[in-house]
Amino acid sequence: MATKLKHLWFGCAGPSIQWVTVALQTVESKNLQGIALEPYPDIVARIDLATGPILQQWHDLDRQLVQFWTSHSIRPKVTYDTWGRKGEMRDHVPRLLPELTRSGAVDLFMG
Amino acid sequence: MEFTLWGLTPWEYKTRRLEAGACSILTQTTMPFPPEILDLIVDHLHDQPTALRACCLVSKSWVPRSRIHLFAHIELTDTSFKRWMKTFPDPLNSPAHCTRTLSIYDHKLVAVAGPAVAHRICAFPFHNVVRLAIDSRSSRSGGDRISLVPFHGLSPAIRSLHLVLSHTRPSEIFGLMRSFPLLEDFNFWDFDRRSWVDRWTPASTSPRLTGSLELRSVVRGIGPITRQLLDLPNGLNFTKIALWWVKGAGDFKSITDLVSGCSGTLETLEVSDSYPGEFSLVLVPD
Repeated sequence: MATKLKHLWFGCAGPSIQWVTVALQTVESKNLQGIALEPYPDIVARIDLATGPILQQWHDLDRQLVQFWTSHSIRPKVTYDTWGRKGEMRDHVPRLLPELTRSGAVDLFMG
Repeated sequence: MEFTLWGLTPWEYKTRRLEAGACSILTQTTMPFPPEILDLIVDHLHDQPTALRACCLVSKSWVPRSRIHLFAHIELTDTSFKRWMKTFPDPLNSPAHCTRTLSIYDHKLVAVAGPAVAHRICAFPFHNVVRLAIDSRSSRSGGDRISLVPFHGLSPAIRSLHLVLSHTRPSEIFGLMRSFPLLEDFNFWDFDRRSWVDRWTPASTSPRLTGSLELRSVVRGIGPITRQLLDLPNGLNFTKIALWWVKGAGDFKSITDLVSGCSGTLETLEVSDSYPGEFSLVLVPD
């Protein structure tokens, strides 16, 4: 696979996030320097209402990102944009990525 | 008694003569600066079209350098193409050779200039163009669309190709790509609803494609274009890949294939999944 890969960016339009976890599991590059995640504003409302499976997908991603933090010292960046809608992504991150938030290993940016 | 000349002392007379001489030097055609310095002055105004147009009026010798910047980026729409044709009826005397970025917006061009519009554009010597963008996203369902064939080999210097298409065959797209040997960046927005029926016959050569790849497909996914890109004889050497609106297992397999295809060069990967349903409704013409 791509052994020179340095930067990864994922734009998430839908609440389902499993594809990001699967993609991250295939990364073999030792040169990886950054992982960025940008959930689109609309999905915040859907995540809020999401029941088990979606939340579980986010927790799986959380574990995957923690592995990158512990093994490669890569701090994921989460960019969010409220677009004037209710419920900011910032408020949901501790619930969606709990382990990463507890470790203080996630950077939040307003897009 | 002091000598006077026209009421001036000798000192005053000499000073006035010197001032008059200096003024005549500045106002006459003699250049106070070497051409290289004048070029630097004009280059400094590269992003100020009003000042550049004023420079063209200063002296004929200032026109070529000003044109390099004034016509570096050309956007051809229905109105601007009509104006261009009226201003430069003779293609060989046009400033087309100054253009580095040529953007063609087909939405109304065909309606104004007819289906042969591409031939009329290519009659101009755009042989220094480095970036070519053709936006042929159209609500028309057939016939009156811009043909890509006349653009083959438009400029040997093209390094970046941006296509936004809704009714074009893959053979046309890949034929165009193949005609630019130095091509590095390929950016393709696919608005077509139909499946690709004609199959592009791989050629013996293809550009090295060492820059960035951006694919967006609203309806049919990135699978068809990916499969044909991977068939290129010289392979893919992109350092950056950006894939938008991907959806379904087919598209995710295409991502894996593309990443494998560029495994030796890829440094940046950007992927965004599809906004369920709504992009298609807004962006895809019927």
